[in-house]
Amino acid sequence: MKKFFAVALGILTAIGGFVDIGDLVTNAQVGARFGLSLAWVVIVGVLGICVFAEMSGRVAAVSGRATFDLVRERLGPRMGLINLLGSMAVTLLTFIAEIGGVALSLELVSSVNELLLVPFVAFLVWAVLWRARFSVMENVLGLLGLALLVYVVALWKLGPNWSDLAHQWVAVAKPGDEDWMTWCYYAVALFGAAMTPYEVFFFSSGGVEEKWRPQDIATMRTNVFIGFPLGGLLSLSIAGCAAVVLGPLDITVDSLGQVALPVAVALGKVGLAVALVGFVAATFGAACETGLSVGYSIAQYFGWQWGKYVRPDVAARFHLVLVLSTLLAVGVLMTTVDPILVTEASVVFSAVALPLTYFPILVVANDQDYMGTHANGRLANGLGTFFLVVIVVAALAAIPLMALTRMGS
Amino acid sequence: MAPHRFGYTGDVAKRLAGALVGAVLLASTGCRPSAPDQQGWQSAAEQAVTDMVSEVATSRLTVRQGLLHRFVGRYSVVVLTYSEEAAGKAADSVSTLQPPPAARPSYDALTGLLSDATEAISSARIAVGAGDAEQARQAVTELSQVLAKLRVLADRLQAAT
Repeated sequence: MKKFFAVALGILTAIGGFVDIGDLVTNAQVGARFGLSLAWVVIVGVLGICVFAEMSGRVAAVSGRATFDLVRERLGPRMGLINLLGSMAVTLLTFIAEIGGVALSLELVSSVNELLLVPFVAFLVWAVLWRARFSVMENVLGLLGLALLVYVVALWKLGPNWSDLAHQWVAVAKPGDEDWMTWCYYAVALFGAAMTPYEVFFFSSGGVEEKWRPQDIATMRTNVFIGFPLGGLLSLSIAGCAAVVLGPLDITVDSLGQVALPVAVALGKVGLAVALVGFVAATFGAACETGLSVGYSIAQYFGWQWGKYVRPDVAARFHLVLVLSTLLAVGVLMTTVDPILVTEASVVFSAVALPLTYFPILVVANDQDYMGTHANGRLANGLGTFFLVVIVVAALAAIPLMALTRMGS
Repeated sequence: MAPHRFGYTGDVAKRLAGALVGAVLLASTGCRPSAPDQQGWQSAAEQAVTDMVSEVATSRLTVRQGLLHRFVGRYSVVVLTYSEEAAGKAADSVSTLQPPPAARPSYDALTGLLSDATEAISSARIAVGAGDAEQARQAVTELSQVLAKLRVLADRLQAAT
């Protein structure tokens, strides 16, 4: 029974923790402009993240070390440094976007200007990273993130023409007034949002923090292969709600407040309140995960002590990185830069950095020296190679599409 | 090569002078409004009108739902404030441009409509902020009128490109 509850809790937190500010904004933008014609990108992205999260989780469970702890050792310091710089820059950008996202969410609740909230939010994130237990942080925020299931209820309550939505999805029916270049740009952005590099940083390092062993692989796989796809369902529901309510009115999403409007239309005050709880939990949880991921990646590359289960005075440099990255996030956000713009940039640059994150995972998960009998089989390698090709195409296309479409405008 | 009287070689002095002239030119053009060609103007106008349609439609939806008491706290005021800011940016994006000669006749009509739209959103935000239901209903009417005009203009601009 205890095992059952552990698995259920893992699945629920995987669902609740799946969506972050990038998913919220990008799915709403795409839904409002392109209906469900890009829904297949979410599905491909979710399958991709499942494949690589499983690999990185397996590496953590078998070797007792996080994937990126092994990258430098396996691929050498030069490749490790390129990997660190590319992936960490994107994770830092995502961290800034998440803190901005928490501030924007709280602004919707309190009507206090987000700039006044940023230092408070950053302090709160740092305090959680410093003091809260890893499991408490992950479980509480993951469970609260389940509030975003309100989008599934809202979509059902809105009573859309399901066959029309299904047609948009299956026939990839792009609206006539949008061009294919912009459509491709949003496809790449959506893919970047679904496969954000920090998710595997955090997943594999979290596995080490929670002392996974080879016997935990089955539980880990259940969490990944059930929790992540159900989390993807939340993304599709957000896009669906935007497609039904905002799309017909020619509303293009450029603020977080617009993302929750369909829920208010469908479910009124109670639904909106639940959605706002979900916004705060999802962005706060992701802020903690990205903050930790920045610390994890730097500490693992330089071989410092790291992790929340290590006493802060023993992992002083790891905690110093957390403090400095939090201060940097505050500094950037206080320049009055629009957090939504930072979010849009972070998902596109995520797509650019994807090969730097996922190629080393495929290499390490194939290494018999580390993995023994748990090394990748044919299926894992086939899927890994397929998604790596997709990732490389998305990475190469991201910057040209961003320039040609002026960030999808 | 003989040293320049200020201690630089002539070649270096020329490069420095060239860089200074370039910087002055860049600074002087930076102070003037941007002057796009007809195609650039058309593109900027279409983008501004599309953005404004989105903000006015967001505002109208927000006020309507607010009248049905579907929001918590001051959510509607926050959404309207963001729409107001975005509408201001959309209006500025064309009003600060130097229109090409062929577009001058339509310049006043375009900037006037964008200005009216921004004002309609401001009126809606003020009405909702004050909790004045009558004014809010009036704002919905104004937003609907300006939205209809914007949609006609958006279609015309899209057909022209």
